[in-house]
Amino acid sequence: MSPTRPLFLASLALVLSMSGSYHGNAGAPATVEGTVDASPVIAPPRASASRSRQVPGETTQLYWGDVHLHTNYSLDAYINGNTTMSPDQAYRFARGEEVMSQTGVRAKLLRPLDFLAVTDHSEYMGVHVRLAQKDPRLANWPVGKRWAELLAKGNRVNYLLDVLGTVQDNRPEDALPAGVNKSIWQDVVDAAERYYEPGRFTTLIGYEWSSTVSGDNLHRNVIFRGNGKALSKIVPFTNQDGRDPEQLWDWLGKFESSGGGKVLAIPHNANLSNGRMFSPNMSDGQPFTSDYVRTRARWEPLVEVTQIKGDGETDPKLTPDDEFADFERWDTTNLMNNKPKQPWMLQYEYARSVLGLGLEYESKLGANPFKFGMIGGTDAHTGLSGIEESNFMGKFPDSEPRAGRAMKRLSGLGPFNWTLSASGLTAAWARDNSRGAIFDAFARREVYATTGPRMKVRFFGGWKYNERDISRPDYVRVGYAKGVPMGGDLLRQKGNQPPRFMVVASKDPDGANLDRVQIIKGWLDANGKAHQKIYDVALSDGRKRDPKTGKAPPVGNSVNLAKATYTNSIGARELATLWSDPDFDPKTRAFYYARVIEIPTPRWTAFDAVRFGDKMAPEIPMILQERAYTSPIWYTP
Amino acid sequence: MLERPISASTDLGEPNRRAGGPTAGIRARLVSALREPVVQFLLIGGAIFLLHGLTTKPSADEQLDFRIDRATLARFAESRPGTFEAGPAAGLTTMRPGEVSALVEALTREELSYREAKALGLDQQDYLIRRRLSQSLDFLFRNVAPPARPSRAELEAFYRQNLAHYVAPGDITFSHIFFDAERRGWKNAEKEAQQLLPRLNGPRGEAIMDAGWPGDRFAYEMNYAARTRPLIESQFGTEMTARLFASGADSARWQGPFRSTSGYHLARIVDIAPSRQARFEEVAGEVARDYRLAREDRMAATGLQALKEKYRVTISPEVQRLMEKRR
Repeated sequence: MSPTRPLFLASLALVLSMSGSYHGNAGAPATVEGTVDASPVIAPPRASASRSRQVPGETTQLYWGDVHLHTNYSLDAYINGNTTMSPDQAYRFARGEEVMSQTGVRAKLLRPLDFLAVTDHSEYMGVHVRLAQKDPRLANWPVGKRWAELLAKGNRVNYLLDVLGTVQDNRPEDALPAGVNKSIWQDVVDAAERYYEPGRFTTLIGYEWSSTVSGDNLHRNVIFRGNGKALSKIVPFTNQDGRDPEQLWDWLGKFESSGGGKVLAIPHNANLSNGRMFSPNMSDGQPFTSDYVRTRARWEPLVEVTQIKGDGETDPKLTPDDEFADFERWDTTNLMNNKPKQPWMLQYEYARSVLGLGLEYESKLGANPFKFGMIGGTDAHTGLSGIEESNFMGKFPDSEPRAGRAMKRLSGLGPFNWTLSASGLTAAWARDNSRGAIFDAFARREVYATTGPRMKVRFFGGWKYNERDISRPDYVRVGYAKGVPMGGDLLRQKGNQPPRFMVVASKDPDGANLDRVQIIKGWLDANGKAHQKIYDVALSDGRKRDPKTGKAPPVGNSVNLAKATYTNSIGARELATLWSDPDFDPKTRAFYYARVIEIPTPRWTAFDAVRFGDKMAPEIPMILQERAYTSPIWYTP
Repeated sequence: MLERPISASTDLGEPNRRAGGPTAGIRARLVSALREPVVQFLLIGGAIFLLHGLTTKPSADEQLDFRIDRATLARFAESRPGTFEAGPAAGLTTMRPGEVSALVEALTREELSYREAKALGLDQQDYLIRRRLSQSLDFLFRNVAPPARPSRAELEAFYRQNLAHYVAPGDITFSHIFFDAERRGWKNAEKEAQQLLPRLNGPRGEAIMDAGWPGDRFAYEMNYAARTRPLIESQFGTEMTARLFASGADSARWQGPFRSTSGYHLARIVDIAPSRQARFEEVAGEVARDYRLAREDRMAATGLQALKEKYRVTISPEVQRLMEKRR
């Protein structure tokens, strides 16, 4: 070993610090000499400002995106092999450019996204990237040295355990040297600024707070409304700063009152929380207080209900009569796989049940802590928000497209990759494609989740809609004028008239036809206990419900597995109906949301079987019925 | 431009003694890369030394030498958080002797165990550490020169070389009235659209619209604000999209009928931004961003190419055949 090596590394560090530009992977933005001011580097809107880009009287447009994506700045992404896919790569891919994935796959979306939030874990964010960059401030950081030693001994398992333990523990000696956090966060903010192009592509600034208590997932994505200038002043809140959600909300409150702009938190993977995400107790084990329910409602208006690690709308054990409930479920354990799932836990995990619990709390405590809209995200750790079934980019580098990936285990030890769900996506009804407008749609819950496809769903509730309104070309205007969109509230009216709902669902313009539209209602009985019921409100192909079973016949199946294709010979291009609740009781609280089901199509495993010639075991699902879940409309007496 | 050039002889020991030999090719390559206008040979000393360290095999004696001088110790101390309160420059002098000894001991332990671990090849055995080291080298290549400070002329040249990348995709803002072929039949849908058009553009046009939006409900939207061509194509079909984009914007007049995949339409087009070459001024920020990434990629590629020339990579005939088969 040459004695010159430590010297040259040190001298390199010196060189970098002298150049005054140690900004990590992203590097300092190039500055421009001359008349062009490119600092901060924000692409100006391409259209001239004087031209009208609005339709007079227009309400909302539909935008598609993902606010849950990890890059090599996430510690677990890096140790699972994503060393090169940075926030820059993530934005490029999401806006439709071709990039080279970590494993050398030329990756490109079939359809670009309209918005993206890179949400790397805040705990030790970017540290591995900085270690690889030989950031001089980390040269003798004890944790980095411990990891290097474990790696040098070839002890990968202990290394991974140590990394995960470090993230979950809070040992003062593990703290990062001063200034490192801030400069890493600045990289993240700078990357979001570089790719924000209002009107064309919105980058929302955010991160993931990753508290895992006893192996149970309590993770939240924190999404900011503001721009880089305001957000440069903070460093993200981590599990080391506080592992209780109450502490996170406290931080969010301080952030807003410090003038940084609006912010919200979005829980996900309650299905891996063993009942803890929506548990009936606060973090100290005490029952909810009226303060608690108000605070929670204030900061958490959305839940991510569908993603690669499973779908969380409902579970067959909770809703055995729901023939669509058994869908992409991960319901056997918690996040760290250290405690099997017990049946009692499910009610505190799945969205439909939890929305009902919210009504119970509201009637007892005066506010609904679980009054959330629904969105989908990927949670991919590859830097690639790619969940198109025919173009699924996987969860970690080892589930990126390649022969045999379905039969491998997630990062070597987890569940089989075939259980990964190529999901989900967020649809936002926003006034335009900008940070402010997308965030505001989130805040008023005018959003919905899909498991990947881009079906259009409009959902309005009101008291005065009539049969003619739904067939009007301008039913959207009527929808807003005479009622509320998804995410809204209906209050008690005079008389006992039931509320009416207009739902218009159209197939993904590039995708599969629709099987049916359902409205799912939850309500409280006289004893304050929540119930739920599914109504098939629109069926394709002239099908009728069997009066005896209450069920509609299945739509059929046009999938050809030999080629991984389907035809739109069944199902409907558009399903629209005006529905009024036949079981309405004006005295009881209720929520209503729409579930839109596609006809059967090939699952990503079917595309792999054709593309790579993979032999799939019989237990591997090859066909699925994709769906959309709208945010609910609540009725409060 | 560089405020404090680093010379090979002051800071970096004695690299020139062993210049030439196996490193010459790489050095030449890097030097020539650094001569490119963008790199501006700012750091030749540092770069040469860096490559020297990477590419020179030490003799057996050298492998067992470890000399601790003030500079070595100061750099080591500096990288340990909390060692110095007053800052590294003053640090060593203000430390108590016992602390200096402890520091020497810590440095010795780290250096010797690091060397020995490497000598035993422990770094080779784990793909994670191999990948980390390989990435460290990649970062090194990318940061051989300080961040770009390109002139406007350089950015403009880059922009001209990558014109295709700076095409604004084009979008359209319009409202439409839809005549559903499924409901009315294609012939009727067309006829009714044709009949309504002159009335809408006539003196009573506003009154007709005020009385209620004519036509049928469309599966997607009634109004489209600054939506891109692929989105319009997916909902209306390519033929109608082409005709829409070829029409003139006139928010006071209805145009059509346009035939789509689901019927006929009358459109009031508020704005059309055709796909076009963006001017440099509009995309200067993007150009600067892309310039920086391209420059880093080029530096990394240059470094890798130099390595490929230094090492002899041979590919077995069997693998050769596999490569050709794949192709």
